[in-house]
Amino acid sequence: MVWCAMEREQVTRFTNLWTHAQTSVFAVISSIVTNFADAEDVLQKASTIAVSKFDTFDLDGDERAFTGWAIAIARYEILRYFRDRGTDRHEFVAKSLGQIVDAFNEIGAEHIERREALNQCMQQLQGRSRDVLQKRYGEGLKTGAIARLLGLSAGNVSIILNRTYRKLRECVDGRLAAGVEAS
Amino acid sequence: MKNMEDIIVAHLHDEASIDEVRALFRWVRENPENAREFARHALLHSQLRRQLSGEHRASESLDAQGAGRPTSTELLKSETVVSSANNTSAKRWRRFSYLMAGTLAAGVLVAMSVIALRNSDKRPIVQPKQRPSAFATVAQTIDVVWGTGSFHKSDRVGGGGTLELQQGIVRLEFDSGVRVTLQGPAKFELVTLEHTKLTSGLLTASVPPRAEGFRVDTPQVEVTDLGTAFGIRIDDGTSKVSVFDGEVDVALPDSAEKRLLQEGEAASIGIGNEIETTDFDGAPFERLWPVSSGIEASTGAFRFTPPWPRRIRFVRSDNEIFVAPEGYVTTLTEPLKVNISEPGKYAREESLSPSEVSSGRMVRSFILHFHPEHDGRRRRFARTTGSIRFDRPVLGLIVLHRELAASADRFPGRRAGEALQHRQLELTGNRAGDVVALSEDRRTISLDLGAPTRFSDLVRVIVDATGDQQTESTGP
Repeated sequence: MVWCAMEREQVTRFTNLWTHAQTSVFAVISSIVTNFADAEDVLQKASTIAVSKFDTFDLDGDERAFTGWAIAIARYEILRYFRDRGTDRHEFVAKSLGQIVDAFNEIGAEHIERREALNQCMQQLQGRSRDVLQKRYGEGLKTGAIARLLGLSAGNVSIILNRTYRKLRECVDGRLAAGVEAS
Repeated sequence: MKNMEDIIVAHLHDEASIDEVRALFRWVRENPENAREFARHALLHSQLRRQLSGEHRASESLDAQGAGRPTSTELLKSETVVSSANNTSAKRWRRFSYLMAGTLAAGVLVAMSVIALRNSDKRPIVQPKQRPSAFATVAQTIDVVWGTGSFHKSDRVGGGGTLELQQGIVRLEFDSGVRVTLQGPAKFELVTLEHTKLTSGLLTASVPPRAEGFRVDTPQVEVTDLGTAFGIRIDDGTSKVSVFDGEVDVALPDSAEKRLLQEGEAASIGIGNEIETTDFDGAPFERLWPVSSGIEASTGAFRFTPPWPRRIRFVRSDNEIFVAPEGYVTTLTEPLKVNISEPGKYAREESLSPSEVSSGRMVRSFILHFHPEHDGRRRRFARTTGSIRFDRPVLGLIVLHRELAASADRFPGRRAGEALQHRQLELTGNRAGDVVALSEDRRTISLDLGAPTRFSDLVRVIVDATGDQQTESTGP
């Protein structure tokens, strides 16, 4: 029965930590592996390895430490992905990945604030901008497919998507800056 | 012309050209603020996916309960213009939308099975003694006197901890495969798996492929590895960086000044000074070579060559056997023929114990080379002896020309002239012949070597590297 108590504790601990970390881990992966389906596969492999190696993670470590640990696992899966495909991107991805991972670890503290700001900013989005964004991120459709569905040109969809993304980015940064000033 | 934000957005949507992606990553490497800006974009991208895929999943769930409204994916499927590739992409994307929630459930399931398997072994889940977020292991210590704190072989370190050595040598093996050797007096902080700080002392780092980007900051300079081996010596407020293999970036903190150093180059940086190119000098690191290579001890004639110069076939000495590690840990992709596979003393070729090291095995390789001087005219004969002890078992020795030549391309880097027929052991059993012995515990090799004019003695040592992190694979 002691074992059962430990099992539950460990499973719960992993679940909580992974819930906190998974968006950051996916952010690192999708910043490099930009094909959605492939990024998904890499995330899945990283999560499986994180589970199997969980006993090497210090249980006293906090959520931030776990996120860093999980990102380190994802890093190797990213490199493995490029190496296995033998693409010409492998070399400069490998050269830059360390700095990118460092950067994600450094901005880790902003994660929750940025998510909350994004939720607020999303409420301001309506109409076609919202539709295009939903189809791109919610359904994972590419520009051409969205254009066919909405009866627009691909160029037009691209402009709407970029403009909406930029507006969201400015809104999130503005809210964070205002929050910092208010505090 | 696109600005960098346009390129970032295009890249994240998988719509940037290869040249744009190359320019983007160059920009990311230019300074940490660029990298952080890129990370913030990617985080927003990831948060949008998570939030909107969650909404989409909820919407699909409602449809499945009877609303009957076709989804965009279904509409696209009904169109003949939609390519099969897009179809696959849409299907896989739907899989992603469940993944962010599903990985959690899957993770828990796998965790439970892992735990169940452990229980079947009746073994407790024991957390090894370690510092919070440890990511490196103390692999070897030699004559160490610690300052604050005290560490022993096999201790786990990391998580912002600092090693302070008053004297002695310590070798650390990072979980990423990076191997760092420190010589005291030295102070070394382990910030993260990829980021460390050397405040004082002497350090060598060997960074295998796939762990590129490993960084060592000193008070004077930031050194970022690009897949290489390098050394740093801090002396009188000056950091000297020497590159043994590959390339490193050296950059002044809080300044745009940086320089790329290549194999055989060195630079010196004082506080507030510029980066000055200096002559390469491996001598200060000489005591660190054997430790950083996994050699525990040696007696007699052995001399450790730095990873520079790479080509060692022209290194000569009448009484020294040169030891040279060959590259990083390698996983054998096919069986490797060795001439000696069993402990024992060998003086004759017919008594050797040939075998194969099986494919899939992780190994390190070393060249032992006795290459006496000769002037090309006088008849000379040189003889020397010595023994060398490795920190891991020796799996086999390659001592004959055919196997030396056949294995040369599998351990590139040193070019010890294996193609030459007279570079092998002469196991004739007579007084001029060579004798080699492998100890019962397979860790010590003893050599008694004789080399007449124009001959040299060459041995390739294959050492077990099972469990080392410096490999091609990191999977479970």
